[in-house]
Amino acid sequence: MMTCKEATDQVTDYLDGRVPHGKRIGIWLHLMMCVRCRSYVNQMRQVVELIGDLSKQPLTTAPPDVRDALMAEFRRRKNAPADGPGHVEDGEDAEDAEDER
Amino acid sequence: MTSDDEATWVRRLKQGDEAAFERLIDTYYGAMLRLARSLCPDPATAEDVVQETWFAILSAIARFEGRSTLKTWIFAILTNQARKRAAKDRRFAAWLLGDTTEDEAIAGPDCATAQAAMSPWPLDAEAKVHRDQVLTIVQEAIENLPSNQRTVVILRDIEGLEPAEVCELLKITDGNQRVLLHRGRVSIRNTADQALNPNPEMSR
Repeated sequence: MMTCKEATDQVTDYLDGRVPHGKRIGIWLHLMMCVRCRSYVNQMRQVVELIGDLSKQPLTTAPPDVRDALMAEFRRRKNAPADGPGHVEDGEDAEDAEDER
Repeated sequence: MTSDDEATWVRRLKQGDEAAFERLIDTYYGAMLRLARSLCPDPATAEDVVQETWFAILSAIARFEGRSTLKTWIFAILTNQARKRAAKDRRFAAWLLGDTTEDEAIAGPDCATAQAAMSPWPLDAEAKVHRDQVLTIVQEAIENLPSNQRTVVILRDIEGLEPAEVCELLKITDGNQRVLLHRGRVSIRNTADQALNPNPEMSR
């Protein structure tokens, strides 16, 4: 029988569906027997839902001056696509970002 | 958004469509600032990193090939910018530059079920205003996490990135990612429990 500690140490993987089948059965059996762990897992599930709800909250929008500056830079680059060397470094960073995918 | 929608959006960006770029700002500015604030030691540095990220996006969007989602690509540029800053600024957390030795094990007293609350959280039965109050508590709990836990919680549970994407962005192992997410969620749960069941006699 899995202990409470063994069961709750795996709660994040359990809720993410990342526990192998055998261990998952062990956690189920433990949760059937243990009301405390059942309560704990339910609370952790609610926590994940609550954190997820934050993604629906309105976020900071770009201040008007920042937005105007970005739009101006977008237009400038559109009209003069060949950037100077000063921009190459930024571009390299971004290429790295995709290479890492 | 479907991958077709995003491909159309990217094509319009590459063509210099201003409305597409405005949409990019509207969609990602806030999320970028949230991630930057999690990575950076102060709000002003976070704003600098976001600004540098926008310039890098402008330089590189023409070469974006769609091998990741736009969001993950943008977050990867942002974390690269933050890492560059961290190399020069010791106020940044060491984990950003690869020091993750302290985060190898899940085991710890915060996992002990003996501490689990027995009083159910009264979320379902309460009005929306109550849930909003709990969300505020959760938001504050996230802000008070160590930056590595906070960043993983933001990327996994708010932004919905896959574990492998988070590992690549933050240059951490899968085991490390799991431990940080677990510790972050447990800490948020404990904070929420204290707020919802303030009497320890009742909740422990």
